[in-house]
Amino acid sequence: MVGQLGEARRCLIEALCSGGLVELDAAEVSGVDAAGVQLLAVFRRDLLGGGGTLEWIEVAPSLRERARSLGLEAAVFGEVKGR
Amino acid sequence: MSSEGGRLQRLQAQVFGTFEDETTEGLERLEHKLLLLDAGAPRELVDELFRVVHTIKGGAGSFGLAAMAELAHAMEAHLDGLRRGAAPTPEGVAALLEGSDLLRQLLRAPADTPRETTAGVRERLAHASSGEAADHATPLVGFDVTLRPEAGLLRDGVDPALLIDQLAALGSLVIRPDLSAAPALDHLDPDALFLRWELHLEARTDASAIEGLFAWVDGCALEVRPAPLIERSPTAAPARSTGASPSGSSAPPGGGEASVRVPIGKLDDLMNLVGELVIAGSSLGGGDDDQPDTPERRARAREATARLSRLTRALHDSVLRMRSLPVALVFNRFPRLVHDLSRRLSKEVTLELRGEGTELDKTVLERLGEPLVHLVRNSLDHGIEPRDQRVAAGKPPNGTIVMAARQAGSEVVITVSDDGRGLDPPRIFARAVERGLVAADAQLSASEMQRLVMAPGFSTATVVSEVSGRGVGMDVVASTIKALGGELSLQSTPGQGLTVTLRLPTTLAIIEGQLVRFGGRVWVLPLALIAECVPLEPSALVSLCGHGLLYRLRGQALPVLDPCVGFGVRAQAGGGRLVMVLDAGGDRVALLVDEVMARQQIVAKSLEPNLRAVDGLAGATVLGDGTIAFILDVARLRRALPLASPDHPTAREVRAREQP
Repeated sequence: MVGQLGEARRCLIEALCSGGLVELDAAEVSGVDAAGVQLLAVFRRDLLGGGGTLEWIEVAPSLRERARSLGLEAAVFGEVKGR
Repeated sequence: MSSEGGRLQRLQAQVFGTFEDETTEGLERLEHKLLLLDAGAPRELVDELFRVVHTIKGGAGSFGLAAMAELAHAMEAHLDGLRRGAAPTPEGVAALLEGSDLLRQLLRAPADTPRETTAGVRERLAHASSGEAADHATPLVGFDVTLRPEAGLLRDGVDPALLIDQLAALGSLVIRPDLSAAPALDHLDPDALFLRWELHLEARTDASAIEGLFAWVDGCALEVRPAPLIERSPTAAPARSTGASPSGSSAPPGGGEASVRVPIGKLDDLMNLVGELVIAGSSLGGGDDDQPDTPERRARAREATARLSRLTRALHDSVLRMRSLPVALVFNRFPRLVHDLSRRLSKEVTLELRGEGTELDKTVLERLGEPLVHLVRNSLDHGIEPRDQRVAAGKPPNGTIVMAARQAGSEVVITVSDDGRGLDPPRIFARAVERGLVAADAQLSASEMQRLVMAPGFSTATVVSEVSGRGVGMDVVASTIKALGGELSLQSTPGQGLTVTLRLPTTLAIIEGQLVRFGGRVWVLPLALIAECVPLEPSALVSLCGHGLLYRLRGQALPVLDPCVGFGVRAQAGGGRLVMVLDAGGDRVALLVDEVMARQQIVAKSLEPNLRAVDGLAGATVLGDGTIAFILDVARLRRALPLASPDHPTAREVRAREQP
């Protein structure tokens, strides 16, 4: 949520710097707003732009629903890989 | 959580509280107006209904109450059909009423209430619309919509997902997000919004309706352009889910401190008064102490003090008015209640509301709803006869219930009248004997009969109906009204109807008091209950066969109460020379007092939390000199105090006069 994304951004920058394959598990996400979805979309854009790969382990329905509402489902998830 | 997050949550809680208040008021207005919706309803009525639902929809959408927003949208769509010329049908009105009920429930429901909750009502609305508006369907049109939120939109508590959801609820929506303005992750301010959207909407609406959805949002540029249709669908059903609310933490915060919305005019009055008070205060305190004390200075000081006193009183009135709300807020729920119950009981009943603008203290008003529901249910179930009985009795086939409110001094009088069968004294008596409340050979006066009706659990209904007749009614009403400092009385004419009168104080805290002295102490009588005050005329005192005293006043014999015995204070020699005639719950009584002192506004404090409830005393107050004075509970004095004994000093005078 807006005002609470600093830590998430720091973790994502670390993941971005490590490059290669990044796996994200968003099963526990319970509340997300447009700022959260935007952060994930920018992360995926930058990761893929640098030649990396993003794989989603699991996605909470609320996150997917919010991304869909904003038209950002493809930008955030591309193809979702379930377990 | 960061302090920024905390601030946002507090802001959202505050804004949501306002939304709750406004929506509750809107729903009451909606319900009231829906009952007036028929084939001949004026266009203005339909427009008003549309506006109310539209406002609710906008608010619900902005708080992520997706199910509520979607239902409001379906209701709005139905009303829009009526605005375009379709005729209202009973089916449509019933579906709208059902929708209104459901909106009320959803207002209290979590934000992630499933959309399916409202599916049934939405279907009925759509079905009703298809019947009403077959020939009036708005054509499906296309729009390109550009949405450019400012970076700070989220910090202001507005989530663009909710705005997009509102658009999606209008029809079919294609969303094209644009992330190109967002900097690289290591330069991204995670709380700022860089997203833009190009949207294509196909809906049976117009550009102004789309713009209207965004009217409440600051910080989001919107551009709406007509566009060709890129897909054609038979209806304008939403193209995708609008259940966009995240669960858990984003549920809108409700509850919090109760609030009153104050019209700006009342605040302006208050500001003016405070301004005048400051001026008056400075004129009083601005004097030069070195100046000699002249008659002119003293006159100016007296004038300023009098002015301050007037202003303080006006200020008090002004603040009280702010706590006051029109009884319409309670009355407006009754057309619906009567509409539904009369159908269920297969009776035809018209409800008339009068004096809805009369204002009452918010606390009193909030507690008045339940007693009034009891009274109206009683009238519908027990009072108004079935159609055939009414016709046989020579009455109009339709029954009438009148709810009226009016200001009477410092009280508000509310009456609920019906033209039904009235109370049935033989039946009440028989039921009271059956329940062992009175002896079979007892002779009951009208007021005793009235008290029986208000006895706990008393009901004459032979069948416990769904509506009333469980024997929990009049006693609950009477005790609630009593707790509010009010009085309840019944006026029944067998075969003609029943009127229940509630007399309520406009405020619970401050009363206009008359200070009196007896038994060597100062007491307070509520000014509104004093009918008159006359010097004692000994010849008007009549001994009641040696058991008590009556006072004859203009042909009326008033029971004389002795407060000294009742409250355990010593009667003063030579006292009791003034007769206060009091209006004690419909009966007039005479109270002998020694001295009538000043009138003043007093702040009533309850005795119960500090001492205990004392019959005959309504509370206490602290006077200007610091002494405590008890406030007499005039309405209950007749029961709390004994009749003045023939041994009363004044009675002795009577005896002396009667004996030769």
